[in-house]
Amino acid sequence: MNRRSILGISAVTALGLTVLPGSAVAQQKSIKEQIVGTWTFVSALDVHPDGRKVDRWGPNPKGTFMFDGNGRFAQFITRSDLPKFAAKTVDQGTAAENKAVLAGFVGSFGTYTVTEADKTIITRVEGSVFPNLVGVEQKRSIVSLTADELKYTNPATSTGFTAEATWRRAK
Amino acid sequence: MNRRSILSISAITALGLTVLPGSAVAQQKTLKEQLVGTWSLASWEQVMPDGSKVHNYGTNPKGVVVFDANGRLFVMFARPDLPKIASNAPRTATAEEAKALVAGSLAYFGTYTVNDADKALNFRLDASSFPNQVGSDQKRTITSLTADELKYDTIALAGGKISVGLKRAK
Repeated sequence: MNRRSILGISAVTALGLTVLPGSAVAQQKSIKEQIVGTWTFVSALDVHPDGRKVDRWGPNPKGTFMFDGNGRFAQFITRSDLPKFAAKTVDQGTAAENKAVLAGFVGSFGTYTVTEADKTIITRVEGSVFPNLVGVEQKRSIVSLTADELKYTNPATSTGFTAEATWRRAK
Repeated sequence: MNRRSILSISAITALGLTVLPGSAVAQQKTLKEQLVGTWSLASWEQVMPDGSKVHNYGTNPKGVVVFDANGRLFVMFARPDLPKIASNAPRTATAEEAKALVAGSLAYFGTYTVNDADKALNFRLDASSFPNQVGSDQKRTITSLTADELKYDTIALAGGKISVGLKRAK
């Protein structure tokens, strides 16, 4: 082995290490690697027992679903027509204002894991504005996943219905 | 130059490239680079104009603040003792339950910017569980930032100063 061949091998090795994250690995990314990041809410439909699909989020809903690289998630979905509180402080909402907020948004955070084999995301809620969810595991089955769009079904939402949700990657 | 020295140079070069992101660059990180990630709420305290202290989310609050690398923000604070809804459905909560949940928690998301010069954060709220805040800009001043701890202050709308303490989530 001469000097040139040693340099050649080193160069190939270095090149291989550099290129790997951008190409070869990208083609075999796990589901977890693909979902990490921030997603913007598009829609979620509650599927009632009789098959009806109901949009409880109204026009121009807003939401975000964040998955960090360390297994933590944060999620928020809200109607865009929640009434402002007349008293202007959060602890002085009227019964109607408080009711509208609770019925018109969901928010929670905690940890998540991905089961690659059956394409499910399992969240474990550590904190939620709906405290009944704290400590609960929620399973979402991925219907489709591309670089820009995530679709899943949630068989047991806080409303008791199955939901079909669509998110697009935040830019 | 012999075979061994060539191999050594190659090895050092490779090692240098590998180590760089973890050491040299870490020392010149911007505030934003230091903020990015998920933080857990450690403390939340409001000092009123008369000096009295208020803990709106209790003395052992739960919460999270997430700064993503693209400038997106998520914040949620909640009392650890929020009452469970007896009917098990948010839309059929009693008036007392609804009031306790809305007043004892806060969640919002939006975007953030960082001003390195004056250690200021600006939060722009796209959505909030307190609807009056939607669309607002809110300024925070960083008072402490290490790899594991972040503290910031804000002037409360109702008067006084709110101090938030966060630990990096593991």
